[in-house]
Amino acid sequence: MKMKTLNKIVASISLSFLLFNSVAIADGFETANQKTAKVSKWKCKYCLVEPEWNFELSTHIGIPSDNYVYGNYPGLEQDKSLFFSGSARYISDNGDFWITKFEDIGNYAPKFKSEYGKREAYKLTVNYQSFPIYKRDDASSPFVNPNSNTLRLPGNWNKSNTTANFTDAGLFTPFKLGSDWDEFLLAFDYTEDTNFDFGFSYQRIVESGIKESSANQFFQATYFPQSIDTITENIVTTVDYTGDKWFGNLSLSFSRFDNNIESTSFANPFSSIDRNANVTTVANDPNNTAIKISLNSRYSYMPRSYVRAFMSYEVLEQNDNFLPYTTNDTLNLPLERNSLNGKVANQYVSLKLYHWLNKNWSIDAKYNYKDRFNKTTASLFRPVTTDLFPAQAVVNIPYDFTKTSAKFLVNWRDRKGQKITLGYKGESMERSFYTVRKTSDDIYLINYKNTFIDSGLIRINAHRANRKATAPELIDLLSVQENPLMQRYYSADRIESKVSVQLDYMPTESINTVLTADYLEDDYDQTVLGLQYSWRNNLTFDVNWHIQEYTNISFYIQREQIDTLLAGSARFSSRDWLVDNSDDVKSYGFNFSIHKLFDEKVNINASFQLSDASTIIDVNNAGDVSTLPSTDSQWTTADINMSYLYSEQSTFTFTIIYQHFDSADFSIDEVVPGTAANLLTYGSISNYYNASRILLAYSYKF
Amino acid sequence: MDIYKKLLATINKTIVILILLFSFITVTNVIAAQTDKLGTKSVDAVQIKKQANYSRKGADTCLACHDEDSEFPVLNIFKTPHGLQNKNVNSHSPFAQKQCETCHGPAGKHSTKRLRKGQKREDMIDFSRLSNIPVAEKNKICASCHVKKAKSHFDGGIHEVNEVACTDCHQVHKPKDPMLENIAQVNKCVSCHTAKKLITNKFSTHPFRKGQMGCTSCHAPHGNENDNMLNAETTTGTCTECHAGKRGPFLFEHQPVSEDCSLCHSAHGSNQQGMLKQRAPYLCQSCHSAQGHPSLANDNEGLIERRFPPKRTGSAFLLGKSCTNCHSKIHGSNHPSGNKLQR
Repeated sequence: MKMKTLNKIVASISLSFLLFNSVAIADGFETANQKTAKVSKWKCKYCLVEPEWNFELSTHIGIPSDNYVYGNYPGLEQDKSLFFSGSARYISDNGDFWITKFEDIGNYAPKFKSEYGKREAYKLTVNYQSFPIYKRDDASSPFVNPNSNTLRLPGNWNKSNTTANFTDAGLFTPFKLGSDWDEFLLAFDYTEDTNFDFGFSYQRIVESGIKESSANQFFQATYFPQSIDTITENIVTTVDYTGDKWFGNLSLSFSRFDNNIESTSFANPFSSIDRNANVTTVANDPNNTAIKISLNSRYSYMPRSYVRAFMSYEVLEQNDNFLPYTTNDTLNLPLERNSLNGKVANQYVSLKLYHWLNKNWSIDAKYNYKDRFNKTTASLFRPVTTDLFPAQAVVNIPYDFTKTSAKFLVNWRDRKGQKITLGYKGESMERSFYTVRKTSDDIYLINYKNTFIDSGLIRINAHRANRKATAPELIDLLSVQENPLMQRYYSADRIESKVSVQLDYMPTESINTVLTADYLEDDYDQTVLGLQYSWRNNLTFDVNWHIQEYTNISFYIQREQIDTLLAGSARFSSRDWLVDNSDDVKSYGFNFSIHKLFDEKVNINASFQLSDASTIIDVNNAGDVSTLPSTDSQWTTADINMSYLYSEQSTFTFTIIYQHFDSADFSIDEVVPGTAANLLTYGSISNYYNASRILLAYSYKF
Repeated sequence: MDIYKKLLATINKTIVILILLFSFITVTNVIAAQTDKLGTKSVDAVQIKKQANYSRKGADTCLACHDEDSEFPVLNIFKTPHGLQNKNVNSHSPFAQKQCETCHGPAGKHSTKRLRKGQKREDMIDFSRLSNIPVAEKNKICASCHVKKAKSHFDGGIHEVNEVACTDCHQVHKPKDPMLENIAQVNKCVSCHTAKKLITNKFSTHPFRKGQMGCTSCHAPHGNENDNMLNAETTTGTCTECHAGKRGPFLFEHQPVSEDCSLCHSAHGSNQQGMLKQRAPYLCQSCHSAQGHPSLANDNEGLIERRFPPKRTGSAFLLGKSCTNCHSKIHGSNHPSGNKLQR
């Protein structure tokens, strides 16, 4: 269906429904027939009166294991053997409060949160958390100063064309790969009995450490430690108006990204074909700013039915100075411009109608418009490819796009737990400087929900989407024209089918089971080269058994499979091979908890989780099928937590945490110098850890 | 011929799916109708409470039974803002109004001391998931105080429309609402969004495991008009709130980065490094042909570095970070020689 026609239909239907008189949905339980409550006579003598001040301090003494070779974020930090947690809480009966909480002070990942204010009046929040993300502690590179942004080789480094000659371990410097994220938040909310609320927030995120990076010189690539030192600051101010039927929100936000290291240079460890190209410099993420204003307005013309308009305008700017074309002085040319003066305007408009026709029927209509307008000037640049060869002059492409979508859903329900939705959504995307000028998507959906046997609930959601793309066109500004056989998957013709079924059932009052099955299939039926087909399914079974009042067991089993089929080519004109990529994740979990044992003094919680993941890649090269070494990872965690209530004030807690992670990835684990002649990595790195922690904590409340 | 077979297969699949779907609908509708006829659906407590009278002693009537040893202990409410009793300054606190009966409705015959044999205690307004009270009624009770939250977004939002009650997520009788703690919040959200349960268990994921992030770091569960209830209008806008360095604009851009981060990354975790949807080079080859690059990874004899003359140690175009070994500035480059995202 054409978008314009659809837009007209949506607008007409929306307006006509607004004219109908409709039935209010819900009434309260207070009626004139009731005797009014004689509240003045209510004593509330059994009501607890909490002391205004409450404190809790916990001291943790632990034995952390020393094997912490992380590969990805494990959620387990390099704990120190002594750290503290605690809270201070002041709540007065007149609504004043001050709640402060701190965790893991003295540890590598501390948290602090404090809220001060008066109920229904104002609140000041201060929040700080630090989380180190350790990637690897056994990385190594030939650069003697891994924390610098000008990386040097050892004095006796012998350059060579092949990494097989880089096997002298004494010439490599070990370093820890990972970064620290520090997040600070200051927020102030002011509310009053009038219709207005005000909000202000300031967020500061600092990232520092060493990140993975690499760059190449012609056909040789080198991994180097890239120092990072960045600050992101976000400031948001909001004003809300809530009237009887109107809601309005005006928001102004400012965001700034500041990179203290604008570039990283390293001495090339390989022998260069041009002796003037001995240093490689890469540009790091440039400083940038974003300013956004948004206005949100909503009119509820009857309970739970409303019209809403939202619009925002955002300007992104970046004007960092350019680096020279190359470090190779014999090839460097003057720049046409010294900086980008990049500017992008994002506009977003959303209109929505949600309308209850009567107790059973409702409609949901929505229109979205998003425009990315790139105002950056296009200029001619004369790149030097990997500091070796002057390349053909190119123009920077000020890429932008416009996306519109319209949705219309009809909902029907008769009673609680029952609902049927039928709907249509049309999407259209137009891109500039892109071979496929326009794509349009027709999406039909059906959602169904119903109860059965009093304690069962079934949900079925399904949709089918058909995306059509215009024929690829030649774009003048592109220095390299696209392969005409290649269709980028996100702008190619595609038929998508999705079905999701969820079954909740309680066979007894104490057992709850949930079975979920999701299936998604994308068929790129017109694509010659590129993604041909993909499917994903997810199956989950969850059981929770509330054995007794204080005893609970839960168990889940889950499997997710993702499969993609891709056609590849080494030439311009034909498809040479097919690659079938299969991801498979199996996860199992078990939890047991028992509370109030032994005179209501002991609580025990034990849990275990295992996730087993693999990736299998089959390559079909003209009928000759071969399989790449599989990529496997296994993550196991087990923990036991026991607490003993020694007195009303004192609690002892004993915790054992064990985590095991093991992965095998042919492309990472064994890539030492000599594996590939032209690739110098951080060395043989295994994503493996076997970490345990035993903790004894003593908490005192006063 | 292939296209014809494919078309036929797709039609067959669609028919099977539709048949299954309508079978489910029919069967569950019949069961639901039978269940109603048998009268297992109890009377709506809200209707009872419309006629019921308030108790004579207020909370003291309730707390006489509902102490910490009862099946439904409630005393923790006094550690929360809902339990504040000073009528002069906390006019919206339930305990400064009609105490327990502000939310649970007039006690009516529920507080009858002695029940006759076979007599069932009259229902109160029960906020548990299994109660027979319509979600809209439950939410209306919460919204009678939290009126701004309801009017700003929740009413008509995705959760409200899909019959999620406030109390399905929030627990007002706990000293600290679990939804305000990231780990508990993730556990609560995945109890319905079960496919996302793997969010904490995947090889490469965001820092959910120790609670440095929660679902609300990116999503607005009380509803807004953004797709997937994201905090910002677009996926990219949400990601760049923290990953602002990738926001650009860059001198040389990579179009998918400006368009939608989720074209390459899976924010809920992945089997691949960097939360990528597929590993390189195959993710890259979903959009780029490998002209000039020996990017066929292997044949039936194993890894390939080069085919002629054969060498078997693996290629730099496959090992490590594959394409991004050289094109490391994949999110965009601000280097005047970075047109191929290498600098």
